[in-house]
Amino acid sequence: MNIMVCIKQVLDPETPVSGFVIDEDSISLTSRLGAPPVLNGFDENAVEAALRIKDTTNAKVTVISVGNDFVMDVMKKPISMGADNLVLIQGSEFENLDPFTTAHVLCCAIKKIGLPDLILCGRQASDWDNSHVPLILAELLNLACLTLAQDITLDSNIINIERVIPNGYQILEASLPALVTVSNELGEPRYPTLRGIMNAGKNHPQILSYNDLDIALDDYKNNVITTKLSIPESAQDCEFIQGDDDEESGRLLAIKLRQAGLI
Amino acid sequence: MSHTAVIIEEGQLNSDGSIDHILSLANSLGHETSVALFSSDNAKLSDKLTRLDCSQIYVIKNDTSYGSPLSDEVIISSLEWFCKEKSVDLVLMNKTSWSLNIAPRVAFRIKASYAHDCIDIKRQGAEISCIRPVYGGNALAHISLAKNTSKVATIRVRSVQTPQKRSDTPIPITELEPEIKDEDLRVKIIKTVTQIPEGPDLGKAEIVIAGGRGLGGPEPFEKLKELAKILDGAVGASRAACDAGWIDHNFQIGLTGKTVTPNMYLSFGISGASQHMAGCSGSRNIVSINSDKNANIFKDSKYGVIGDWNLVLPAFIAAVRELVDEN
Ligand SMILES: Cc1cc2nc3c(=O)[nH]c(=O)nc-3n(C[C@H](O)[C@H](O)[C@H](O)COP(=O)(O)OP(=O)(O)OC[C@H]3O[C@@H](n4cnc5c(N)ncnc54)[C@H](O)[C@@H]3O)c2cc1C
Ligand SMILES: Nc1ncnc2c1ncn2[C@@H]1O[C@H](COP(=O)(O)O)[C@@H](O)[C@H]1O
Repeated sequence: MNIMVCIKQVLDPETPVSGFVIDEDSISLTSRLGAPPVLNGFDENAVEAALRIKDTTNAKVTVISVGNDFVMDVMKKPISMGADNLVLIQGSEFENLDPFTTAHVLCCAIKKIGLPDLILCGRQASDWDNSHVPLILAELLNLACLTLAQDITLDSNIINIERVIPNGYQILEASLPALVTVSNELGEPRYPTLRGIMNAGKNHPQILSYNDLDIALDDYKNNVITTKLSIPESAQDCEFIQGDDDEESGRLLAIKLRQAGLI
Repeated sequence: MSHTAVIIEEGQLNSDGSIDHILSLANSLGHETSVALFSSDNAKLSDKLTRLDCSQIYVIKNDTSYGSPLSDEVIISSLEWFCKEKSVDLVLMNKTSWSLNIAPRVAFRIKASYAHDCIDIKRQGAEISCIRPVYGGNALAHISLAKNTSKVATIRVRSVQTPQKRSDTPIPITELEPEIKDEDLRVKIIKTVTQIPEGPDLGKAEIVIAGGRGLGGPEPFEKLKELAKILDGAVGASRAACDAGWIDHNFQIGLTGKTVTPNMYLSFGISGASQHMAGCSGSRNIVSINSDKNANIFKDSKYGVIGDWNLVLPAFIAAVRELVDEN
């Protein structure tokens, strides 16, 4: 059983608002303090989902990413958690791709490496919060697509997922091969182990460059042009309610809300 | 002939009036507007609904053997067929956890350009320009969809202020039966389980009382529920509190949770990360209790208390109870 997990490095989404600056040339955000990127959180959930399958079967887990300027500590984190292989599709051509083009590049690379039984993706990348790449990848590879999994079970060739929906869940079923997107409700990703960290240190990722893939990137543009980025402004002036101690503040707040007609 | 189609989620017709909002946006973009919805049962389309202010209502009827609810694949193929059949050049949908998985694939199949989760859309000649929050709401992207392609856009719920009035005259309804391929039936929905929490619906409540990581455990949420009962409000939570297992994910508010727009959003121990605010910044009055005077949530709050909820909350509840009992 071969599982492939698509991962992306992103700006740390926990950066406080004031920590972001707009880079006008590339029309993207950067960290004011040059903080290192992190692995997209939902991709960690996807890696965890793959490793849970590996825990009980003899699955092989390969992680794959398209981009440039990879930070190796970030990209190798899945290996230190227990994944087997890392494939990097790397080069300046792959910088700031739109999601449709990214999906085409992944499709092309996956066809070259060999189609796995199961592809796992994060539900969305916390840069543009798109959630497009997995859906388009499933279209391109003509795979069954099961989204927003909080649990995955496999029974030989049949995959079942519990899909998060508002106020509940659904059970979806399909035959492999399939593509699944994973949501944070799956639960905390495991920590790297000592052995995993050593494996990560020794691991040489398989690198694919533009010339290895027979692909014309411009053909896939989705005709969406980003003209600019701006930082939203909030105009609220907060009125602080302050008593002599916290209890009194609580009481005064209740009175204030009553006067304001809010309760 | 340019044609805009507003697509409505199965079962969402009567629910919350958001149809009238997105319809007013569609109508503001000029061009003929139709509404397309999925229904296996025409009888449920009440007379009121036939008065949505548009030129046509299309009822997409799928064979009941395809299942209920319909799988994403059946819906995507139905919409692909509909857009081609009716020469739709702009598709609009509310951004929901339903359309999230559908709209991009429809766009891909009809070779349309796609704008996701927009808070504003304008037409400039043959071009459509949109504004959408990115980086969890830390930035706004201004994008434009190219002239010569068809277009698909999803709209953040409640970002359109004025609802479209209903029409005085009935609107013609056309039934359509799309073609479905075998491969559209690859994913089966075996079971749908819904757990509706007691009390008013989070999406509709006039008062929402939300707790975050600062509450430190599950017990304080019982206190928030007590307060919600007194005020006839609904309880919500940040993702951090849900991920910690203190409260079910159904209560999560934010970018990947629910969107709420109550009259008052009362938060305890929530820092106000942009991904959280994405789900509540449309509230008319945000009131926050946080021990950190620099917490981001105060920037969006009308009233704030800098303090420890352990002390503020019990006194607040007691005072609220007295004030409410007085009436
Ligand atoms: C792609 C993506 C999507 C996300 N989607 C969502 C989403 O839908 N919803 C969501 O909520 N988050 C979401 N997040 C997470 C978000 O970025 C924040 O991590 C999260 O909202 C933080 O929750 P919090 O405010 O409860 O916790 P924290 O940020 O840890 O804040 C806790 C607050 O409690 C205060 N506090 C501590 N002790 C006390 C006390 N005794 N009394 C009073 N105050 C106290 C602290 O000062 C602090 O401000 C998402 C993140 C990503 C990357
Ligand atoms: N450059 C990339 N390389 C590999 N996988 C990606 C890339 N971009 C997105 N993905 C995958 O697609 C998911 C959704 O991304 P997005 O559509 O950008 O929101 C991510 O969680 C990843 O699993």
